[in-house]
Amino acid sequence: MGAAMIAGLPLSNRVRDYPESEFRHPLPHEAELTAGVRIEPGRSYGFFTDTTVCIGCKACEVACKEWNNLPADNLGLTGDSYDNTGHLSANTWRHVAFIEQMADRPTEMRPFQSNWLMMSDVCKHCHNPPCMEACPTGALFKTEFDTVVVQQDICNGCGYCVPACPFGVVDLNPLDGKAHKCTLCYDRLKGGLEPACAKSCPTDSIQFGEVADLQQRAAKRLEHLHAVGVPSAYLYGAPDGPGATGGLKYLNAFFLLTDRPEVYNLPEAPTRPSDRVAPSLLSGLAAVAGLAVAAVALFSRRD
Amino acid sequence: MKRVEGTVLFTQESRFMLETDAGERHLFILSHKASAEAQQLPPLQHRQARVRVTYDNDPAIIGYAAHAIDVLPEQRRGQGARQWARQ
Ligand code: SF4
Ligand code: SF4
Repeated sequence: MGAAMIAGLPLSNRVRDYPESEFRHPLPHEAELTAGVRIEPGRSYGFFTDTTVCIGCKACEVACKEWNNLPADNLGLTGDSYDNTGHLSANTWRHVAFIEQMADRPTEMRPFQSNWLMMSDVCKHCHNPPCMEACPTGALFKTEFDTVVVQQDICNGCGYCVPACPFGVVDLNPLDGKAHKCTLCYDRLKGGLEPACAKSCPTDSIQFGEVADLQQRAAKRLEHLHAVGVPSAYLYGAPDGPGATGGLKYLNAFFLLTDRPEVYNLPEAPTRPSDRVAPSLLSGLAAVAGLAVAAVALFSRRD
Repeated sequence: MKRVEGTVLFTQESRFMLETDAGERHLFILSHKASAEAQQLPPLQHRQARVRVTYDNDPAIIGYAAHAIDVLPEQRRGQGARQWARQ
């Protein structure tokens, strides 16, 4: 790694080895050139998405569809501002939400994005993934890059992972009967490439890297935003903060937000369904015991 | 059901892209009704295999549901097909 910097991000000195703009062969450890990080098995990778610099171009959505050969879905008009994608699905693994803040309009138009919030949503690649806990076949697994992937040949399409995900990410495709979601570009990581969505982001709203580095970078960005007068900024999914509640600990794909999580269609306090198994079982047993006692009391009185 | 012949350009999970001789590209999702699994698709991509796909439209996506894939002989293209995966 060298001292070169672009947009505040450290870049490898290797950029000087490649002055041309078109290549006829894959570059070794390409992510070092595009994201300033070498991808190695055994390390933990994720995304820091800074929503304050998202311009809603949807380049990430397109890049994801292109790389993963995903068809367009949610055809037709949603009637929901400029958001034609609508939501994450089995065929849409990145979704840029357009959130129009109607309260500020039309009498007051503040500069920059004050009337729109934009946020590129994706699988959070949870540290303790509830989808993986719910999967009975082991199709959902943690990769050598600490990301969460559905192994297609193992998935039996039972759909248990769908309600288990507190963020509504994973989805069943009725055509092939399997669960699908963002793989954090597992195939690209294996080839040393930055994920397609992060690479295509023109403002670096989506930053890819090692989770510990991203957490430090996000803390600095937060400090800066507070210093320049954006007190509403906070991190969602940073260790033990908002979004990492209920035993999730932290999210490998975390966000910098400026409004309540619900505004971005994120749960305020996500939880792991597995934490509710013991209380549910106990309350069920208590209900059965209560009914049995009531029945005994009722029938013994008749005698 | 409709049929189309072409070359498998690339595959991802149960999805594959087919290029016809006329240069048109079509995106297919391997239907759960087909007697084939997603892991059988990558070898077709590596060989850039010529195949005949039996498919249906799916109104929910811009793409098609592949119900059967017949691998066409490499040497005698267009002259008969070996059944590879049929519904
Ligand atoms: S966000 Fe949902 S699908 Fe993604 S790892 Fe977490 S539980 Fe699984
Ligand atoms: S990491 Fe890859 S699979 Fe996940 S949203 Fe980005 S482009 Fe899509």
